[in-house]
Amino acid sequence: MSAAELNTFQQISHPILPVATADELSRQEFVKSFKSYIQSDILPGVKLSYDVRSAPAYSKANGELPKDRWAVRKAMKHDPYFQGYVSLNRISQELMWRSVIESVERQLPELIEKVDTIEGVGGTLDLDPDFKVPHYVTALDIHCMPGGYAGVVTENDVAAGAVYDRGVYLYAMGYMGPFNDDMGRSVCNYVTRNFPDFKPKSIVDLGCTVGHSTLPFAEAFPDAEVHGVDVGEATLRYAHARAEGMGLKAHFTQQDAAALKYEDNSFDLVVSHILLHETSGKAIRDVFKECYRILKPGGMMIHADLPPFGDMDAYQQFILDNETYYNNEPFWGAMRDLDQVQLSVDAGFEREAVVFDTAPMAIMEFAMADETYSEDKAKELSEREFEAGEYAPGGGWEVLIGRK
Amino acid sequence: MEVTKTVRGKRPKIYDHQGLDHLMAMTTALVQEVAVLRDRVDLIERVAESKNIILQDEIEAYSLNQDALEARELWRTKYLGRVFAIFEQEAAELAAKDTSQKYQNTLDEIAKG
Repeated sequence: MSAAELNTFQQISHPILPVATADELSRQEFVKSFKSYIQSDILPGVKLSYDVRSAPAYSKANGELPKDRWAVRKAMKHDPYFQGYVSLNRISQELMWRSVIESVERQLPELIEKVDTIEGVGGTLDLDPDFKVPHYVTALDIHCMPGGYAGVVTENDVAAGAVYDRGVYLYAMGYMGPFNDDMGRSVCNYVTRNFPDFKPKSIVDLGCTVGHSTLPFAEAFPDAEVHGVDVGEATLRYAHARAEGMGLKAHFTQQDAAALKYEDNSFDLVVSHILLHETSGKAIRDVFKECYRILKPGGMMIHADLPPFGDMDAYQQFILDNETYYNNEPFWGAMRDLDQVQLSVDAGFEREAVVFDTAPMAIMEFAMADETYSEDKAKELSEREFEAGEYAPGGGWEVLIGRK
Repeated sequence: MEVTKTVRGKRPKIYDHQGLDHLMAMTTALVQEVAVLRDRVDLIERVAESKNIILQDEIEAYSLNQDALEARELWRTKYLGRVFAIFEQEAAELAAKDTSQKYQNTLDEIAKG
């Protein structure tokens, strides 16, 4: 392995980011390496075990090769190599959260105190003490994050936010950039490059978590009022502190993206980043309806999420769908089977005004931001081919765009 | 303040025997801890180097004396005994001709008085 291929990406600190001790950092770095290793060295063998062993055995017993992802799962469930792969993948996720949680737990009182000491830039935080967290968020701890997005462990809590900010960096193995904001940046670039005349004055990011994808909009559209909406109290409190600490102005409110408090026709741009697959069959429909309702005429909706299964072959679908079964992502598979264009039409958008496209990853721009993000590494990442089971589609993010 | 560490949602049983799921999780956690220790040793060497002590060279050049050899061997023996204590237990049971049946018989005997 050449030095250029070694993943040495490092998250850049900001005032509210938890700081790891040497051992905590080693534990976290181990997980980052381990996840890379599983993807690059163990995952390819799963396809081999399917082609060489499990698919022929299935074919012999059933008279045909597995024709959909459920049949592939049936063929593979007892394959020892596959079991090893999913077992290690699951464990890497558990070790990741634990390595972050113990670090956050140790410094939680200081983090909570720090929130009040950050000198702000005028962004706001609006929590709703009567807010009821929707069932689609509380039914399972999504992607195995203990306590979930909306977990609260103490007064003025920021733990879930701190755990997420650090955890998602490791989960993405740094591919989200030193500020975890690659998705937001990529969508911003997509808007400014494809619609140079579109100058949104009001923007809302639905399911914003810690505002990591929200802040690029404040940077790219300095004249716009930027809002972030989420269901988690601790994540929002952290998001607010994070934005203020980074000197970017945004307004965070606790709301359900499927039932927003905003007036009709109030935003020029409504965006979401990996939100849709964490909703539900009913909520996703309501999210689309809400997007249409709160958009001004001429406004734009952009959801950056996972590509639909569509014409993807059964094996690739099966690999992607492992998240559903092994990583507490209950809507991951089902969401990819939905016709999102039709959902948009049902919500009020004109069919011709809705398209799928790819927003190229902004990762190249990080090459200059931090020495660990070298140009070679960023280039390699932005140009690679899509491989099911790896983090992020190669080269870009799938975006669904609707104009009102 | 305690932050939640367990996950809501049934953990999938991947292997036919759940003990293997346990073993994989524990072993991988240990793999992680070995990496943490290795990093710490690396850090010690680098901190020393920043103070102009080249520990790596010093370490390679260091010759263990008899006391050191004995102390190490003693530590390793005890260490192996701790890690593989399960075999010690099994050997002791074999020597005592202990069986599950014998254990059950004891339960019955004690229950009666």
